[in-house]
Amino acid sequence: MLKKITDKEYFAAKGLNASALKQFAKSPAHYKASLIAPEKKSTAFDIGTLVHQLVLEKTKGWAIVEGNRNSKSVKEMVETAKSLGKIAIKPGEDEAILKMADSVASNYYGQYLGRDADCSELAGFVEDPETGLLLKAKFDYAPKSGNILFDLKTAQDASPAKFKWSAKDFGYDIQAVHYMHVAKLCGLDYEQFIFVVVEKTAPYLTASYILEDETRERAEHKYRMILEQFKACSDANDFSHGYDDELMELKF
Amino acid sequence: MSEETKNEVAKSLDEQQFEMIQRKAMMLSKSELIPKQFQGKIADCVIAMDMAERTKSNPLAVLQNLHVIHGKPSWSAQFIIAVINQCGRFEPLRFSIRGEGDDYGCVAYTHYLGEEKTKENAIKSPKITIAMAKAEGWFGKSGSKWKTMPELMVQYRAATLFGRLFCPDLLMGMQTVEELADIKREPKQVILPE
Repeated sequence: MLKKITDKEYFAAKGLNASALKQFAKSPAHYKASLIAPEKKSTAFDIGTLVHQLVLEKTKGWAIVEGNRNSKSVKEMVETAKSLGKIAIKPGEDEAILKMADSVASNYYGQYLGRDADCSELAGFVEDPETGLLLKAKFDYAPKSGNILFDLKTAQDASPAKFKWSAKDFGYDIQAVHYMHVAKLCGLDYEQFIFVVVEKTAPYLTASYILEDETRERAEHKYRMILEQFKACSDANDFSHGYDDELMELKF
Repeated sequence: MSEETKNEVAKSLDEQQFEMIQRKAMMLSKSELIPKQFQGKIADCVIAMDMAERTKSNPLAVLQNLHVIHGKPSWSAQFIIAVINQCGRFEPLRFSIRGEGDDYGCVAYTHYLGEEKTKENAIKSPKITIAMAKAEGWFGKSGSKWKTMPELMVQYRAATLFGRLFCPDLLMGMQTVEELADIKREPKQVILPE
């Protein structure tokens, strides 16, 4: 049930991934909109992708392109790099990517990432037995031994105080629960989900996090509700609901 | 009535009872008045209803006072006091607070219902003191309420021990929120890859 596939193949494949479920958690209308107009990828996203490739696949997936990004010649070079399967970056950015990968490799938990290429970037596709929904997840690192499923993140700030809020904002709790659920249905018996987080700026520090038990329990409950609500919308073929019309109180 | 017919009737009653419980639990699980962690969880609501029956409490009260701490179900101390007071076995629970410094402590006591309220007939919890809280490591724990609310904590813990000694069936072997908060958490079981 686990497949080694490219990002392109993964995103094209059928199934609900963590991002789709997080969009749906905002509102069914957000989910619907994300299907029509997918999120635009930023430079930060590209750097994150390249760090993933270097740490997990040991490949340098970039091409350095100098010059003004708005000039015609540079635009052509960026497109050429893209056609060759590379991501165009600016001079100096490669140094940051290499330092981030070194930082991950020297972290106590990060050192395991990419050790066995067969365990990196594996995609799982399963049917949720309770709702019948098709789910998918691409695991950064699913080792054959131990009880940890790993996820690599790049962040501006990996400190506990900041990452806690980023994790909440980006719904990493839901992602962790989704991955563990898909892994379990794939027959992988992991008990823990660890985020290895590397900072994008000097000194490129790495920190590792695990969800606290109650946070994980709450996320599991929320995740189950999301799946059930998704199923209800799917059965009714209605993803139009957005925010409620009623007046909502703001509390700080 | 033959043995076979009796068995069939019993089976049918069990099924009817089960269906009734399930329907009630389903209704409860859909209510927004119950705590979020129970919403949509029919199985948990069935367990809570069973607990309510055993403790002679309202299912909603059980749901409001049943907390999951470190993955374990636990009662709130207030609920334990309420259960002791309404179980029909005892007079309402009372507290005797005495001592100073590390000797400051509390005994929870009462009498069996119908018995003469004499000193000799009183049934008491062990005395809970600040010295005990320090020796057990509850006092020094980060964020401990023992430092900020010692009066409340000695009473809660005394009531919990009273319940554990004189009506353990009502507590169903569960600890209180306060007890679990005092327990040092085990480190997570992380097994690294080879």
